[in-house]
Amino acid sequence: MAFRNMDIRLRRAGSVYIVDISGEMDLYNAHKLKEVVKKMLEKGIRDYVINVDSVTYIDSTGIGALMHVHSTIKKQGKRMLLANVKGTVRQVIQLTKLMDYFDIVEDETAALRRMKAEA
Amino acid sequence: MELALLWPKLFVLLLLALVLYRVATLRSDAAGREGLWPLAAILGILLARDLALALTGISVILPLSGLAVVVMYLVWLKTFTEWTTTDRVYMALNVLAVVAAVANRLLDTPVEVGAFHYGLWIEANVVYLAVSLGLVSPVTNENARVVLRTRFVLLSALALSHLVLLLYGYEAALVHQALLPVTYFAHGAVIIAYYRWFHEQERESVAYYAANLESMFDFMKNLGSAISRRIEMSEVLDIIVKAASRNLGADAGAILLVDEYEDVLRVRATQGIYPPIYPVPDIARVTTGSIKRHFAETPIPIGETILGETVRSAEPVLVSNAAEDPRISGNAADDVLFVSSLIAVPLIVSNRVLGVISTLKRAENQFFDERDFEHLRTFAEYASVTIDNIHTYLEVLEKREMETELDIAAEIQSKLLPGNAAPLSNGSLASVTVPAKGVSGDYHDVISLDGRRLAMVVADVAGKGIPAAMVMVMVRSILHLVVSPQREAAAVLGLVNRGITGSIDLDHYATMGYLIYDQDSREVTYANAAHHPLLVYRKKTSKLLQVDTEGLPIGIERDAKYAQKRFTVESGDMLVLYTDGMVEAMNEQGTQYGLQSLKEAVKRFPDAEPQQLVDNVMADLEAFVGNARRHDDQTMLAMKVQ
Repeated sequence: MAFRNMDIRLRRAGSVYIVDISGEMDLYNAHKLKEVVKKMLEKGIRDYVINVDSVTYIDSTGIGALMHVHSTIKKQGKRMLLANVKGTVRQVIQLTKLMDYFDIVEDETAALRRMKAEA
Repeated sequence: MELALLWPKLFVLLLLALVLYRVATLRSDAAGREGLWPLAAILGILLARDLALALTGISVILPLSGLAVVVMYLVWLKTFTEWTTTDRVYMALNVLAVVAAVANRLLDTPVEVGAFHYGLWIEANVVYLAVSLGLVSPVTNENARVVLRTRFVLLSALALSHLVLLLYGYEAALVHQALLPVTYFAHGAVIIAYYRWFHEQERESVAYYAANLESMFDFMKNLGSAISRRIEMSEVLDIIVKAASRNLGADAGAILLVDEYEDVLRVRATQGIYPPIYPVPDIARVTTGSIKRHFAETPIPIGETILGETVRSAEPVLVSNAAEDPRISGNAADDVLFVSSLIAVPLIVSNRVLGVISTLKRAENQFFDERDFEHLRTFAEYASVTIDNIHTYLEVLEKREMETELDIAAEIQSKLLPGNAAPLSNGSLASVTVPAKGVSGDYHDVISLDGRRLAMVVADVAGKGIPAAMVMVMVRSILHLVVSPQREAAAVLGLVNRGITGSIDLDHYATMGYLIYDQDSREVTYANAAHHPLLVYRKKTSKLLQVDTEGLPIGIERDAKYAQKRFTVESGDMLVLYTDGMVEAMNEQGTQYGLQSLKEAVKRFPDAEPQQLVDNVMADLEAFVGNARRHDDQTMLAMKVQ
């Protein structure tokens, strides 16, 4: 199929849900993240770590999806951290001047530590 | 003993052996076949008896063979039921009796054992057999039919013949001529009963497969009519689980599918009341409604509970009696969650496990059997393919809808592109935009502010489809409203941002570069809302500079502040604006064209006119990308100072 792939897997670390995104967060796929987070919010999940370690490509739609889930989670008084922002993802976020917009942490360990400290 | 009598006996035995052979070859998978070998053994005993008697004339052969036949009938009966301790004691006693009889014959003992003693012992055996036969019940043994049908004739023949022997002894001619052949016919009756029974099994199996086919057709028909209305996965799953439950006479059924994102099973359809096959908190046990809800809402990790195991192992499972399987015996011991029997079959399409279909019986002593198991396995194959096809179809449908929407959006976009801008008195200008199929994110424009100044703008809206195109229309409208000769570049961005923010979804934010060129003073003012930096080629130094300013994308924060930079250009200098699609274009190896390549391409044509420059750069980009698919719009604007 002409559509390239993005995969989302969920993991749990205590009460924190780690959303692992891999592949290409583009026009065709980015909406999946919004759907997943919407369902998770409906279930009352409070703490999110979005792990973009394995994202190989991101375009403005992908950034848009990240912003969307970030603001939806924040609006409900819940928490979201963005982990493993490197390479092309980092470049695009920097270019879009959004490094300060997201709560970015080094990696998963740092994310969980911060979630715990601020609990 | 006359040899002449032997022939008719041998003839009858041969006949019985033929019938037995025919029965044995009737159905290779018939239930109760293991009962045939003791019957064959009895024929062998009878044959050996008659031959030995005719040749040797030793009369003790008769009671010994008689005993052997009765014992063999017990062995036969035991192929339907279990051996008990009593049975074993009884067999041991028989061995002792035979040893005693042989010893009595060979040694000189004080007591002479005669026909009467043998007869009594054999009758005792017949009584034991009668009691054993009497204990067989169709309730505890579904293969008991053949026993029930034959036990009367069998017992009568055995008891009567041995009673006569007991009374008249083994020497009387009557015994040999009339009585012994009678026992052959009793044996024949048992073999014939088998014949009938195996035939019935054949008929039942044909009827079963016919019903099986019928129910499959029924299912297809229901599915067909459901699909012709409108395809909903939930509706299809409902039909599947209902059909499966009905076909199997199940009290409840459920389909669980593997979650798209997590390693868990989610309940997608149920029929009847399917209780959770795991311990349930008291609060959820109050009503049948709460039990159903608890099951429907609790995801089951793959590998956990009997349903999760079925998915992990991809092996179907039949638990005929729930009480005997530790995985679900909890349910068998629970009044509210009671389950008596369970089948779970994985739904598999080309080695991928989609989920599991399961049916339950929930009544005391009601059990699924091998046939039900086989039926659900066959049914699950159809169901899996159906589910997979519908899933694929829905995906394609969704993508097609998306593409239609993208086409509409592209149409809107094409109407927004600038027409012929007023000619420059002090410079020349060219632009190109190559839309990617179905995508509509880029916007560029050239607006004359007054006689001497003009504005150039490049924007990229995130997202896709009609929502993104609408944002583009809004950006363009607000922009055209707020531009004026007096307004600075940064102020224009601030106003556009203020107008957009709050009325669009965050994920349709836009990046935008805005540039004002004053032809008289050759002064450029540039303000950037998180777009790619402006490229400035300096003719004098042959250097390509990047000009950028601070500021968030449009549409995120209402009070975002924008900065601007002002500088002058000279004759021969070139200004280049572009969008993501240029630098992020990928070749077939997945490598991006990149800003560096773009800059080098621009520098390679220092004396080109703007139109030539954009043509050359686009050609360079095309060559790099090759046959790879373009997945974003590519826009480039170039202006050259005279």
